[in-house]
Amino acid sequence: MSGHQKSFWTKYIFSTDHKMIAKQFLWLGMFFLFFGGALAMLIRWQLGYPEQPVPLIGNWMWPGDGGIINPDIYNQMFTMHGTIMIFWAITPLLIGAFGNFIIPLQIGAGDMAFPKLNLFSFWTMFLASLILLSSYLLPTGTAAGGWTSYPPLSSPAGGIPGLGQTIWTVALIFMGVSSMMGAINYITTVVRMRAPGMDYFKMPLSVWGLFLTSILNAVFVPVIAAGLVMLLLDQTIGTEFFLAGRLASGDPGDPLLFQHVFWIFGHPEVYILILPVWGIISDLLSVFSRKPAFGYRVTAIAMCTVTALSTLVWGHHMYTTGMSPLLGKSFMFLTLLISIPSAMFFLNWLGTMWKGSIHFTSPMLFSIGVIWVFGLGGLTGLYNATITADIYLHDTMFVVGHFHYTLAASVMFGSFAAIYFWFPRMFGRKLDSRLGKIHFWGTFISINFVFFNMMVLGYAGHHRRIYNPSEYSFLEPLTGLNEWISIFSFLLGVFQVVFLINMVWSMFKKERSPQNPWKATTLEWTMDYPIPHGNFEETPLVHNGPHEYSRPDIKDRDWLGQNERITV
Amino acid sequence: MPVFILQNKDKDLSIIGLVITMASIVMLFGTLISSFYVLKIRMMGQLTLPNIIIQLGIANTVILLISSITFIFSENMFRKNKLNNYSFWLLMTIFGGIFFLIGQMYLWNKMTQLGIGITKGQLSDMFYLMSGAHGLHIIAGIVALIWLQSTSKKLTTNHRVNLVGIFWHFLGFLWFVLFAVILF
Amino acid sequence: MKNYQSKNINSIPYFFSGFWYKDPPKDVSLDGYRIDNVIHYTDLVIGIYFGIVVAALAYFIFKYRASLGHKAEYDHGNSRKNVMFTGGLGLLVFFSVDAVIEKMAFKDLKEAFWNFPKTENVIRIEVMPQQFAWNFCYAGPDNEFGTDDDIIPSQNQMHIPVNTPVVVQIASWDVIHSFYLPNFRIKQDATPGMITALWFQATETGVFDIACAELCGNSHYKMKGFLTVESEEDFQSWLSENTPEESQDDWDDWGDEDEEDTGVPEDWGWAWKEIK
Repeated sequence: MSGHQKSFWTKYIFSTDHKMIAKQFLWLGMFFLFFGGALAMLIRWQLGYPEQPVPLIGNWMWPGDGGIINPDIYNQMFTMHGTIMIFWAITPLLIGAFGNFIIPLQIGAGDMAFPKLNLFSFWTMFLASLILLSSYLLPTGTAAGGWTSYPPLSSPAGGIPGLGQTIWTVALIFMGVSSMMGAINYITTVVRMRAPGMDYFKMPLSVWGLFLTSILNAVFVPVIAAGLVMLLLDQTIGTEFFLAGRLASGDPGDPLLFQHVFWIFGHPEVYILILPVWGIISDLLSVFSRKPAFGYRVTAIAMCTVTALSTLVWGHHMYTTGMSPLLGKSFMFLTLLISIPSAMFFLNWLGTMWKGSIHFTSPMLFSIGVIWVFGLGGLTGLYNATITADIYLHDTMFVVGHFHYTLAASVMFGSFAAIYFWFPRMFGRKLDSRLGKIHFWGTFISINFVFFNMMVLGYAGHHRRIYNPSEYSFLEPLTGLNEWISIFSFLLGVFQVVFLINMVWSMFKKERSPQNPWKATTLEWTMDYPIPHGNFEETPLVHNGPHEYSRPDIKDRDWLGQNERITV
Repeated sequence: MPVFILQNKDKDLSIIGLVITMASIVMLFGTLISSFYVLKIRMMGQLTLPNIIIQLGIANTVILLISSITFIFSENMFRKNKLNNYSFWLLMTIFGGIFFLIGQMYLWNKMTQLGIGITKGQLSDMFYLMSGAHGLHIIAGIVALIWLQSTSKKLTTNHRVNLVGIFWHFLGFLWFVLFAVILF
Repeated sequence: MKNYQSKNINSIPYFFSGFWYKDPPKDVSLDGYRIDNVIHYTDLVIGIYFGIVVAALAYFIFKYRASLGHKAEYDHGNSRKNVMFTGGLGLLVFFSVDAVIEKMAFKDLKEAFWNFPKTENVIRIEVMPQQFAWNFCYAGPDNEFGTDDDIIPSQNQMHIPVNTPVVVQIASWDVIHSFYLPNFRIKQDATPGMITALWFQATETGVFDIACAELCGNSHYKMKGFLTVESEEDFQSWLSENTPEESQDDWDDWGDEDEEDTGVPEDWGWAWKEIK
């Protein structure tokens, strides 16, 4: 990369520097994280206080309904909440921002393999965001078919008015194209641009996680793209791929085909989102326990195994569709197999802390938080993997609680840990640790209350995506619990504002962070802030693994950088 | 400022990037092909195309095959450093691609005339979708060929030629597979 | 507004009662206990494993905190012993939790959920959900579906006799729905153009909710039906009340009304699909 002429446009807007693109993804992701969070608060308002006017903003937002969220709006809200959080908040935050920021720096590369492709990836994503948000301008509102958007409901035959569903499909196709560009870039970078000495088994586990994520993205995003194109044709020109029964004018199509295509992508997708977190957490636990990551190779190989298995288990989302018994049993068995590698790297996390010297910094608190929430989220997956239990629990709030533990809680804690950890590299300043602790404890307590009790609701039979639970007599005992979950979810929202304040305030504070505030060993800490375009003054030579902490043969400090040789 | 650049960076990177892209494309069309079979099983039907359509399809396949062969010629010419001949065969390849597209349009047109238009049935719609998606990739391939043609005077190594060649042959093979899927 | 009752009075006791545990709806089915059992077994074992993890976590946090001023042990945990240990624990988790659950589930499926009753004495019902109501169809006197004497009661009303196996076949009129009986712990998707089936047996009389568990549109939340479980005699008299001749008036009423909306024909029903 030679471009050093820096006008405002080339430096901040159409930059090809992976660090700037990472920041663009970070802000995009943060915007949508708060947007999706606000939607979640409104959903919780409706569930906690059904059909009561929303305080403060209700009369302004929906004057026609007296400030009450009506069922159409409610369906649009949870649809957009799911879509935005998965594809527009977590994906840009973890994969867009940290994938971009960490990969070249940690493997010792000057930039991504294809900087221009990287630029296009962000702006395609941005275009997709605009398309998605444009559906808010429609008088009939946004998509309302759920984030899974099963046809025929999401086809015109399903009765959702207006263009919202079509816009949703188009936006998602663009988003998929952006993800694929990113994936091609990341894989090529990792395969080809590692610094001399940086073997695959010397890469930090964060890079491992992002690498595996990118492979899944490159392979499975095209699958959903094909499904979405078919859905789009159903929605616009009137093909009938997914229509059957009365709705099909001639031969029947197959509504289940979309579900299969969706989950062939959709199950790897949840690993796409969680794999970077596993990697980042494995590294951070090591940094703050001042101890090498326990069983590094085992963790890496276990992550690869999970990646491979994740492609074979999509059927467990479809037990109640009436799939053939043999297929159901195979899917259950394969799903349960995932618990072996998961248990292994989970134990390795604990192993890293064992006999360590644990520093309770903000990133470490969030990393420990991931052990807790991912432990719960992973274990509760067992219920949903079990065909019989799933007959009862499928499509209930139990599922909602479970996947929020794995996706929302684990991934958000992982993202927060990453932001607290790499903020000094991105902005040259450390985030305030006192506010960080407030943020952690507030988030930890309220998030657990909210999602654990969602599982309780589901076990008590509360099915999901319902506008007003008080319609059903068997849900009456849950009214109070629903209300309390809402209260704690509002609290959860408030604590995220603390985080936002911390971020903005720390960005502009005077006090600079030292170059390597956490005394970490990986390559991204070896240069001064701001990291120049091209990253490394000269090609780093890698001598050590990523987790050389507390080596007994070094006396004056407890860490050894990846590019350092031991000098006695 | 010395910036870390691998030896042969451009070449290696582009080929790896291309291989990943092709893997993605294979997944895209793989999904469409599987969907085609699922729908076929689902409706226990068969896509019976009139003979004229099959003949047109075979003709188009041959055109695409020829364009692959002309590309091999141009690669050979490049290797022998006969840049004018290289340019000529490259142009032939581009024409081949454009002819293929025109042929496909004609085929679509003919199908519509014969009453198997778009939205007349899932299996024929799958044919439209697959050939349409393939056509879009052919357009991308033609753009790449034109880019190659426009830079032909400045080329010093053959890796760009190789790169575009891999993609072009891949698209030809992809069409062969799609057509076979539709016929059988 | 319409359904809202002032709940604030209720919420204080609910706060405590709902904090840890909520009973699922009362199980009134023959086989629902199987699902409760597998859930409870899973509760127990993952409770134990999670407890161990939390205990270990707490112990490590306390014992190895940096403020004690010790140096961490330099251990990569890559030795054969360590790998065997984590691998062994992984397998232990698999065999003590997953394998057991799998065995329970397969046994239950074989004995109950996928073991459709083969006796003559079964009630067969066809269910066809539409946006946003449940249609039911009984075979009528000739015991054949799709004939003139099919009994189609008013919408959202399903009656079954107690202690008799009920086999239900489900297909959707429009979008995907899911036939969900919380009190029976079962659920089956209704997909257009496809017939799915489930069976259950009630052990108690009463009226229970039928809910739609799959998002089906803006009124998904109030797509509610009533399952009345009654004695054999009551059931038979209800059936005869609803035979087409006698209930012609009622039938016309909802039929006409419905014609405008969705056009569910008056004589819907499909030939019963034999299940192997």
